[in-house]
Order: sequence, then C-alpha cells, then structure tokens
Amino acid sequence: MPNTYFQLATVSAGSGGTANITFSSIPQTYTDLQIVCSSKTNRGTFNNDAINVNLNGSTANITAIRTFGDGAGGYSQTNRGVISNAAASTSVFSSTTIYIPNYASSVYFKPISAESVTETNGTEAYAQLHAQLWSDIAPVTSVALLPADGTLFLEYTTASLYGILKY
Amino acid sequence: MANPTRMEVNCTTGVVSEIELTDAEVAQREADAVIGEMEHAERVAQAEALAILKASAKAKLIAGEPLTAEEADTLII
Repeated sequence: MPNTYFQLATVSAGSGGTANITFSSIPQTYTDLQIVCSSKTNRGTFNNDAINVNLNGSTANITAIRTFGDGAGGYSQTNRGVISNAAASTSVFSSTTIYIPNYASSVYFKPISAESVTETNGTEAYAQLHAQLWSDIAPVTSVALLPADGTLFLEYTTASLYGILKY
Repeated sequence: MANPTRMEVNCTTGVVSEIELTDAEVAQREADAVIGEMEHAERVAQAEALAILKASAKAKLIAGEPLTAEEADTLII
C-alpha cells in the first residue's frame, strides 16, 4: 500500500461466521476510506451473493448502479449489492475493494465506488463495477458490510479498513 | 433462541466485539434478503435473455436472415 494508506482495522470471521462486519468509531482525520475484502457468504446452493454497504447504520437514501460481466455479456442494474462469492463456490472467496472519498465531510453526500470479482472458475462468475450514493451529509463514523442474500459471512471472510491521507 | 451475532471493530480502540443482532436488525436483514433474491433472479434472467438474443442473432447472420432490432443491439457497441 502507498505510504498515505493507514490500516485502521482488520477483522476475520471465525468458525461460526458473522452476520455482518462493522467498522465503528472511525477517526475523522483522514481524507478517504478504503476497504479491502475477501468474502464468501452462506447463501445456499449459489456461487454468488452480494455485499450491502451501509454507512452510519443507515439503509435509507441509498441509490446505486452496477455494471458487471460474466464473460458472455455485460449487464447493468440499479441494485446496491457488491458481488461476493457464496457457499457453492468451493474453496474460493471474492476479492472486493470499496472506496469512500471525503467520508468526513459534513457538507457533501457520500459516494461509494467498488470493484469486485467472484473468483469462481465456472458458471456465474462475475466482474463488477459499482457506484453508490448515500444522500446524507453526515460524516461517516461507521461502515457495515452485510450479506445481501445469505445470513452469514463464512469463516475466513476478511475485511480491512484503511484511512487515506491526500498527502 | 438467541439472534445471530455480528463482529464490530472499534477503529479508535482496536477492540473487536461480538454483538447479538437486535430483533430490528434481524428483520431488516430478512427484508434485504428478499430484495437480494429478486436482484439475483433479475441478473440471471438478464443473462439468459442476452444469451438467447445473441444465439438468435448469430444464427440469422449465418443464414442471411434479417435481425430484429433487439438482436442487432447485441452486436453493436
């Protein structure tokens, strides 16, 4: 990581999994935030799931658009989940990067950009670009990652939060 | 029966806590799961529809038959 990146926290799900991963009491002294995540959920017999990203615990005032491809074609949806692997994708976890610029602003809405790939060498393997807007000017003090369809992130799901200074 | 637990890490102190979900959080998660399943079904349907259109467009091109506008869209960027 560049020397303007500072790891604030990292967490891994244990043997029982976890319903969600929350980074709280985020210091307001950085410019941007980045989350790097390797995930898999317990969503039944499917290869993929999605991650919902909630800021300050809010599920309101969220709009999103995502474009993704699976090798056969490209698609676009106005849905908010960031693609993740799920239980049927044996021994593979998705790789996700989530970027939140100007998170500490009390003036502007909070955009989120994300890119993610499901590391499945088979059907329903996706590469996704995601744009989301939380239409709230409150500074971001917590970020929660939640499975969209499954009920748990499985063991070894890992997420790390970095604070980024502009110089 | 206890609710599922979530992991919360305090980025100021570094303390990691395992916290039981509230009933409201469980209900929200169930509502999100319904939406998530709908989004997944939409994604799958979209992929299947595109595959059908592309196959039809390819067959018609080979046979020298006219394409519909939808089929032509799959070939034009």
